[in-house]
Amino acid sequence: MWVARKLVRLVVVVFAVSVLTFLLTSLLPGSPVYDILGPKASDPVLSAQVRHDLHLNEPLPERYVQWADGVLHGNFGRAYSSDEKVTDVIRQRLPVTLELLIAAQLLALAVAIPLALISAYKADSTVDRAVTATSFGMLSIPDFVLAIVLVFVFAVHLKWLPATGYVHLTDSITGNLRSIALPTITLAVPLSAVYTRLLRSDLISTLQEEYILMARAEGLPPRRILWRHALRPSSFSLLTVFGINTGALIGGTVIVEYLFALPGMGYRLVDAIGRREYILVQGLVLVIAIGYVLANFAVDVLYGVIDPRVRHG
Amino acid sequence: MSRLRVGLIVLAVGAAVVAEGCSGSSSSSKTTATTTVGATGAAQTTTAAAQTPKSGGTLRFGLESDVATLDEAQGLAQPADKAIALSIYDPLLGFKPDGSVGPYLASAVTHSSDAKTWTLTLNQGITFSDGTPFNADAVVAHFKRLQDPATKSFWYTDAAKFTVTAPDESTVVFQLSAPNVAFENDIAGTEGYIESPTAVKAEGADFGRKPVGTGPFIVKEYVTGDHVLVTKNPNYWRKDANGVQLPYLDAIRFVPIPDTKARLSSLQAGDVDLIQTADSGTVKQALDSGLQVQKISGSSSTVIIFDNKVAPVDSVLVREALDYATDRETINKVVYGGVRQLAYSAFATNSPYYEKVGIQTFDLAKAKSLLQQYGKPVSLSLICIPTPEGNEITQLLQQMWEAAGATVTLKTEEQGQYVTDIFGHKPYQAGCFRSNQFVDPDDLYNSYYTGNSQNLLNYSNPAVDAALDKGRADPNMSDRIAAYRTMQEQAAMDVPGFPLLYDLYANISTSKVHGLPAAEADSLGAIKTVTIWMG
Repeated sequence: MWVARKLVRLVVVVFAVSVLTFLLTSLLPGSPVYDILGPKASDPVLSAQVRHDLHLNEPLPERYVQWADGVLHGNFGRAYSSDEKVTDVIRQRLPVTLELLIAAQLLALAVAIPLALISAYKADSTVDRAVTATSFGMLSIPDFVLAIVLVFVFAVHLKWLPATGYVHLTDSITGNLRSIALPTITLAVPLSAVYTRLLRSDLISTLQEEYILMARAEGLPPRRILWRHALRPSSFSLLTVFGINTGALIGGTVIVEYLFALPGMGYRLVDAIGRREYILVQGLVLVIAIGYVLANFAVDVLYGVIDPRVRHG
Repeated sequence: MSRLRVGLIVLAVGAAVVAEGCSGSSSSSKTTATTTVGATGAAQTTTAAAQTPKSGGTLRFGLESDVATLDEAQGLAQPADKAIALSIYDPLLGFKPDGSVGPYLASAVTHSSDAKTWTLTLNQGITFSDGTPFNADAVVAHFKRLQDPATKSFWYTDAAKFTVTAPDESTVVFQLSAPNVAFENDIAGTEGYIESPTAVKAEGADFGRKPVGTGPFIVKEYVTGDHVLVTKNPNYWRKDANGVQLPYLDAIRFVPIPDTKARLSSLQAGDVDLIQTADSGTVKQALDSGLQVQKISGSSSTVIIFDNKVAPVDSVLVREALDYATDRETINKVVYGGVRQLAYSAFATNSPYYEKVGIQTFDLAKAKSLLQQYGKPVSLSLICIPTPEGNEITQLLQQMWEAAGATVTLKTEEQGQYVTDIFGHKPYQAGCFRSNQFVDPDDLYNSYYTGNSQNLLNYSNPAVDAALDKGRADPNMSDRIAAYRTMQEQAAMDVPGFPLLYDLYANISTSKVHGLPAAEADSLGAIKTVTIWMG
């Protein structure tokens, strides 16, 4: 029942997003005919052809229905300038974005969880202060600055890693890992800082709970208390933000994709907006919206796993 | 004139230029340009010539944007598209380094005395890389495809001005509806890149990603946004002067690296061997760090346009005053680190039609006195797209023009809206723009001719109209030069708009890369890759 309700909500959200995207792209100033044809738009034959191809002469609701009908049948249309199938664009770019997203999130958690555990357990110690100062530092570095510094040090100067480009996993595993190393670090640094801060403060309040005192009194080793008893009830905020970030990263790695020349979703989306590739923008935004909704859906399910009471609330 | 290349408005870094890809002082589709290779480029060419080219190797080429399409019918308006297309297709005629036209796929070109009938004789024994024979039928099919509205070709309006027939296997005849002595320039550019008719039929909408030409390389892999790999065409029809089979390279891997700084970093890190750029800062940095730099400019320039029908810029006194008040040197230094060339003409300085007329060097006193002569307070708005580069230029112009006594309001409009307004003839006062590259001055016809839909300046001068008409119809070179001199003199007196700086394109490479040819005349810096070798 609980899952079914969530699923219905998911469908409603996706529908609303698709309608809004459709409206927004149609409300952008200027006509796509000029973007496509430039001054050739003054030629009546050509501009009529473009208007016909883009169905611009038909009313907006009708265009939406045509598009939505296509999408439901797996036909997302074609990008106008390059004549690519939108499904091909998604098929090629989504895996790159997903790989980057998963790698960055895993790296961020791998760094954040141990750091948060140490600094919460030794709150206000030198270690804690050092962790806090470092995470504020990492938060305050903009990603484009971090990216440029990393490229300068590891690519231009030391020549350990490539500055740009993407190697597919199927071509070479080490090549792939090398190509995503710097972008992953760039994305993971601010994420890990946020996760450390969140988890630390939740852990500190959990550690003051009576059952923790009880565990301590029973003489359980600190490692066991932290990992087995404190971490799980302290991860609600972390999980929430982790879910939001997962959704946001599907379309939000634009700057990193741009700087490292990675063929991901975000950069293509921004490029498509600039080119007035309506059909492509709609397709990509739909995928991002679905990703967002699914990520948050997964988080809701996980709440229930962490604390079964949620399912009854 | 090119299709809008919007690129990265949001991220607008460096290369984004005021209303990029659109043309103010020129709007014809015939993109052709004279090429000047800077001192560094020339030096490098000399070094390369002294060595014997080596065959083999893979060149890794960093492009400034994703590839949009490799279908030549769509104009190849982006330098990235053009760079790859130059490896896949051959043109009917070729540009020589001095901008004149010589044989390529066609061995000879002749025209009737009225310049309305043009006859091409084709080289024989050439095949497309898919095995289809290259012959007169393929050439006719190419132009028929451009003429079909369903192709929505970039060259549609130009191709509609002639009929094309094939009297035999190796002869193609063009019958023009009006005389055009510059027709050979058109078919030496992208409009004359010939594609395999078999591949067009077979691939349909996918032809832009699976193009087939007669060129030195064949598209092997095309992964949008990631890379395009081309490999040597084993049956290529050309050999070098020593009888060595061309091309020298085994393969070229083109990779888009949209960020201009990241592109240079990739070159320095050894990820790529050669990069293209339109960013002055990158050129300066590359020169400073001792990389090989081929600087290329042409007629394309950043220009200021006026709506000649709207007060106060309907007065020639005001327009002239603003030109005198504009200190191009300062703009070059502040915005471009001094690496660009100041522009005072719509023509490239090495064009045979270039006239040193109307050069109004910076003279603030003169500007002030002209505005006083006008007698009324001058208040105007200057409109541009909101890129960092556009903002810097317009803020400098605001200071300069206000120093002369005008009141200037700056306005920005997103590129889509701006272009729609300007081409929709919505009244404005002053605006920033980028003019197109061209070789033949007839390309200025639409931009200056009274009442033409592409005359964004709303400029009207019967003497200029007459000169443009004469230049278009007169087959005699010296008469044409005279006609365009008249046109330039008149326009210099009227100042319907004025250029600021010539645009700058560059190819930057490591010392391993040799044999870079002069840039294609119509190419925004792109080069033919057939003679490049690695050593």
